[in-house]
Amino acid sequence: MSMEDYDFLFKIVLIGNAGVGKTCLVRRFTQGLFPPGQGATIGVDFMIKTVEINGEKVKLQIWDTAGQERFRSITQSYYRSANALILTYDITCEESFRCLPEWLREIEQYASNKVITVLVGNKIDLAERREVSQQRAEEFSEAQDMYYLETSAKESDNVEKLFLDLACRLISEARQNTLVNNVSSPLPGEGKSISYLTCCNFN
Amino acid sequence: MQSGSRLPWAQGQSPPGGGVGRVSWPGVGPNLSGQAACPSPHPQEAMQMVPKFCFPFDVEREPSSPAVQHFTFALTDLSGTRRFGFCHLRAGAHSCLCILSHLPWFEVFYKLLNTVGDLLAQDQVSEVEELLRNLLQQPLPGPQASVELGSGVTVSSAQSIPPPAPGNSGPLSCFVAPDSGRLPSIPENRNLTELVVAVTDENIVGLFAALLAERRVLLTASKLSTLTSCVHASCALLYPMHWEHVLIPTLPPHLLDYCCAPMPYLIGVHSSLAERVREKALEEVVMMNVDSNTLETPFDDVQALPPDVVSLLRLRLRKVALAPGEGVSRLFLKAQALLFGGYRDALVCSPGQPVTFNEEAFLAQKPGAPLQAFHRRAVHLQLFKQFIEGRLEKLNTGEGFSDLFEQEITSNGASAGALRSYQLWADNLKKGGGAFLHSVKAKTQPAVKNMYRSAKSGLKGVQSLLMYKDGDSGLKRGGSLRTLSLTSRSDCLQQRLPITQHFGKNRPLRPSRRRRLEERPSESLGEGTPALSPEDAPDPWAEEALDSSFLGSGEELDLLSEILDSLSMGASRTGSLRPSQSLDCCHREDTDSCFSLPDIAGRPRWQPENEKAPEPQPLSLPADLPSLQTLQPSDATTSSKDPMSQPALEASHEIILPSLSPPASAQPSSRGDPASHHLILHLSPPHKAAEEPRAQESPCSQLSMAPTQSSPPESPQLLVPTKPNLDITWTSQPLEPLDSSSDPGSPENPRSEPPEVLPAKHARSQLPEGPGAPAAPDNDWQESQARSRPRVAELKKCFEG
Repeated sequence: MSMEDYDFLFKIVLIGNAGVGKTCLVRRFTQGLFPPGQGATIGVDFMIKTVEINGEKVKLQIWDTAGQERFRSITQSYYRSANALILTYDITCEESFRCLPEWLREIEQYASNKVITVLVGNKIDLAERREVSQQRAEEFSEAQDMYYLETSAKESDNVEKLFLDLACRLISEARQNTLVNNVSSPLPGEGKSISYLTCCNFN
Repeated sequence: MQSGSRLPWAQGQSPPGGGVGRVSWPGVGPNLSGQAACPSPHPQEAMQMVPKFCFPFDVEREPSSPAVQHFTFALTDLSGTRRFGFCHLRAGAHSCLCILSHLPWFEVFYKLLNTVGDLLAQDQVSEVEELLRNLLQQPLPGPQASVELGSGVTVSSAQSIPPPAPGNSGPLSCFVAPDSGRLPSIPENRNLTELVVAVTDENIVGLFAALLAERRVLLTASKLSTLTSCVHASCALLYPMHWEHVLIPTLPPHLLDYCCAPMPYLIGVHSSLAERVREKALEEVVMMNVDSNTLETPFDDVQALPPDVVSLLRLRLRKVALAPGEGVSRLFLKAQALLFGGYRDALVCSPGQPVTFNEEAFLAQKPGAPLQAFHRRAVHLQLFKQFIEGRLEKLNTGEGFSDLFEQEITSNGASAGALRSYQLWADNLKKGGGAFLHSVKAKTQPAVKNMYRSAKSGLKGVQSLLMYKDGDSGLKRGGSLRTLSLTSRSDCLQQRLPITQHFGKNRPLRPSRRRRLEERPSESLGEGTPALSPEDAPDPWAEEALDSSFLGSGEELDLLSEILDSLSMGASRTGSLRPSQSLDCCHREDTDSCFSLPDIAGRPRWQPENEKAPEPQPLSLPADLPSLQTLQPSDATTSSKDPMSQPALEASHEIILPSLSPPASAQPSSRGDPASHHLILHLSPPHKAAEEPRAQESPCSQLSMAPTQSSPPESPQLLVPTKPNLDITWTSQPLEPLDSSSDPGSPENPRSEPPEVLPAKHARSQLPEGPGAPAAPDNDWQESQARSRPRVAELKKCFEG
């Protein structure tokens, strides 16, 4: 895809406990479209996928970093420049679900910045080992005012939908200018402007 | 190419210490199959990348540097474990020697590479092989020990060792591991020295502020050595905090897109690539051009710091920047203490409960509006969060701490009044103390005190823990190389802690510390602390160390004289300090001399250095908390860690000493062309690392020399698990990273396999051709010598003046 061949560019950051399948999720989504793994040696990697929504080309950059598990939670500084967060847990791992409030606590304090947060319960292909019921997760995400989706990176279930839905929401947010004008940063004097129309030279 | 043969000397050799194995590199493969275990080990992948990292500039545009360049790159695996690649880029940039290691021993490895380069230049290939093989196989020297690597090269953790007997005709060198207990000082610490020489005070403060705000920071410079030194040194200014985000000292050309990352990063980009990076429409990136000494930032990070801290830095930095010693490090330590010292008062300790941190209480402190505002932001910084977790873990595991940072807080608190409750803490200490308190004296931290109290009931022996300093066992980088003239302190050496190796991340684990507990239960605890068996009686040591941490004027004099000694080695010319020059020089001289570290007790200040592995904090969180807490006779906990605590050069690193030809500059055909040699010495990380990347405490070192470019036949061998670690090959073909799929050096090696030496017969035969004309090195050497003079002389002047 050519570099300027898109109408929107969004940067999405993945967070969540170790082993919940963050990396697989993205790989599945971008499968075959962008060679991932280049950044594996430097502790950060990203994948790109361009989707078309209502005739508009939306380029999604999905970023992931190595070693998140060493953090009990990730602080705002990590995602303050992201347009959206995908918070992932493993439905077969109660512990990963129980950690969510810890992750969210930091995000909530950041809520004024309008970062879109999506909660993803991964590994639904392992339904027989499910430890967190869908209802429970939905109630939780509702209480947190988050979009919730269950996926299987392995089977590709809902993966496409996840990113498409996210792209839609990002566009709509962008249209409302919330992304551009409403973002206040935690640090004073931090002129934040998330430009979703930036031209990046990704090939 | 001809790989299959074993080196004669390697045959049947079994690794010393056993259990040495290679760790496979847990890379993320391009595997899109969606298997549950996505992240699969793809060692080759990482190894294939090494050549690209060895030439992190636009090889077509960049004229070859006239001098040898020493720089570092970092490889971070999926678990966040970091390895460093120490590079020696030869003049002409057609070959690069590289050592991979988790140990941030910048000065040591750079010097070692010089030695290797010199040997290769003299066609002393077998000496090189032996040296590298020994390096890989030898365990890290324990306290006061040294490791003979052959060719007269010795790696030591002590200075008392006698000068190595002249072996072959090779250089006679003694490399001493950096002392983790010290702050980086000028000029011993190469990274810091490069930073202050290249960047003005104002911009150093700006850089510090940007890092403290966890921005995306890009540094550019035309000299790789300056570039990576500035990256590492600026990180080190954060001590006792660590840069918790993406860290890429040199970004190779094929990864430039990663500058678009939305998360915080600290990346170094060679100036030949800077333009391409700028085209990427970076947002909210702090850009520091080291060559022009300009800092561009869209933020007001400096203004966001409390004014008194900023003025302190600005006023004092100017004065200390050009003076030898720890002045710069200490200044930033002071700033950190002022900024974060209040954390202690927010520690909550109730009997029977683990110590916790009360964020609300922290924010409720009234140290003044600017600092309060800073604190409100600080609690959302990863570095602060991790710092707090590290402290809590230490307290709750009974490790305790009394590092330079805590000492600084104490002194700040007393004088600046920033920490109002400090006095209360201190009072409590006095009352509650006992022998333990006495021994620790006023240096004990409040937090420690808490620990002590809670421990009292259940933890015996904890007290002894408190006496150890943070930096003890950690490896830090830093240049603490001293001349032999210091040997008079050898007696103190006995106190020297073992060198451990945990590195991989910014914060190394420090196994040795625990072991230490075991070993040296403190007698000072008069209370007969049970747990740690007091076999050795290091108390005196502990006290000495503590005492020495306070700067004594006498000590300072010693330091100065040491510096002068080391400086005098080569200086005579004068030049300007300021201009951004790199310090490549100075280092060659070392080859001919033996440097060693002063003993701990004698050190002017006991401080952990920060840099990369600044105070190593145990990353391995929680797991043992409970058990440690009960530290009873403890052998269980301590012993378990013990093994690891004895790191070893052995396992801890991966040394790759390849000479690679620049990816682009392929000029194959001609033999004898330096560019075409690929000699990779591959030290693999501790086998444990693979399983628990975080706990790379047990190093098993392996040495392997692998051809970067290898012919298919070779690679299989290397990949074989139990196979030899050392494989030296040389090829006349230009190195093309992409093609080197069969890279033998690839870490696929089996983890727990004993290291073996790989065959490299051909290596010998062919190597000679490689490294190019023997004369070259000499020139380099002279050149560097010459260059070093001005700087050294300047420093000396400053010092004398």
